[in-house]
Amino acid sequence: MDLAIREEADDTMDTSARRHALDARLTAEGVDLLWCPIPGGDAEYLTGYPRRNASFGVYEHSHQWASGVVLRPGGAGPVFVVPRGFSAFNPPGIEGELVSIDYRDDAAAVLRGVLERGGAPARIGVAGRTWSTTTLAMLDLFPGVEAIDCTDVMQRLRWRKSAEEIAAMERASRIADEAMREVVARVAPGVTELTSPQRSTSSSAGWERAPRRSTRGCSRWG
Amino acid sequence: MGVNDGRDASTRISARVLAAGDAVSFDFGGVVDGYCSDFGRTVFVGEPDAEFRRCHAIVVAAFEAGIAAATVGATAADVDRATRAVIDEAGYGSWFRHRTGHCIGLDTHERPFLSIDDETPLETGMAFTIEPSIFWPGTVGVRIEDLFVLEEGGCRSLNAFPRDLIAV
Repeated sequence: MDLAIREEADDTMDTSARRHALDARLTAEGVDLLWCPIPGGDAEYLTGYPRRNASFGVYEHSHQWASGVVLRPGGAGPVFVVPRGFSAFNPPGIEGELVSIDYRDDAAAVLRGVLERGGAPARIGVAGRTWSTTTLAMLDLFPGVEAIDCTDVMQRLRWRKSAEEIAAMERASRIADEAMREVVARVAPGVTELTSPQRSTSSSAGWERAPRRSTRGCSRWG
Repeated sequence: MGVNDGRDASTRISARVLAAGDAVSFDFGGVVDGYCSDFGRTVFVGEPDAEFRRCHAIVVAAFEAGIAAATVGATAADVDRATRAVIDEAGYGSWFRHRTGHCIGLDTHERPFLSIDDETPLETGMAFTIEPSIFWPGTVGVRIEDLFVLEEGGCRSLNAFPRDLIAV
């Protein structure tokens, strides 16, 4: 069970500074651009484009394989390529250009148009969780292009947390603490396993409005 | 898990009615601004038997060994080795069947992993779980998990929930 609420887009994380830090790493990798799929943790980290926290498996719209953000070294802003059916209900509302792919568009052509700005790319960096469909399409669009796995680039960029990130996780940990207190009070002989956690996740621990703009909720990670 | 229930921890949840002698492990987290927490405790129903008490003490000792090992410059694998040594020496090593922990952030599982195969040096600002367990089907099941952030002086838990044995 996943339960979460995103009240408003977060504005406490400095995504611009993150993209600045990314710049040097992309230059070192010698890539013309980095592709991060949307929705995804890398895209959210670098741009603030939010994910749906409650995801009951993969959800997919037409042209979802071509959904992502293009980031180029040199300070250019992010360019979001997002299917219409997805962007209509998941607008970025953040800095960057939005290129929407309509239902009847040729998604590959739209993607090509974004990727070849400034000339056909020779080396495309792809975030580790990019769909294989997307990477293969890129290789097909630009004969001779290299796809560079940027899993390590992104992991290293993300693994030291800022004070703001730690503060968010500390608040998330306090939610877990509070939920546990409520759970313990409900565990008893005669109670079913299904009863006790479900009552707890709908309790005040996970659902009070946050004092700051936030996404809150309780999840079972299994 | 426990002597009354032979199932493994791979069975996440059931409609079974809890009875004295059951140990129930909880593993969950919250999400704030897209950032995850991950937390775990085990609750014993009734009066804990000697095996559960012993294993709980071992898991706490392993957990504390992990905290002590998680210092700047130590590797992620060092933390795993520290927790595992405690459980191995107590004779329950076969039933600690997963890594010690993982980093966490926008994704619940991020690198480096506190795992025997990950020799990444730990750095300040890394956030990770320490979550040793003894899950022995039909006998005993215990896990304790907190989320930590690594600071210059060592790691600090972001959780405030006690690690004492819980019996209801």
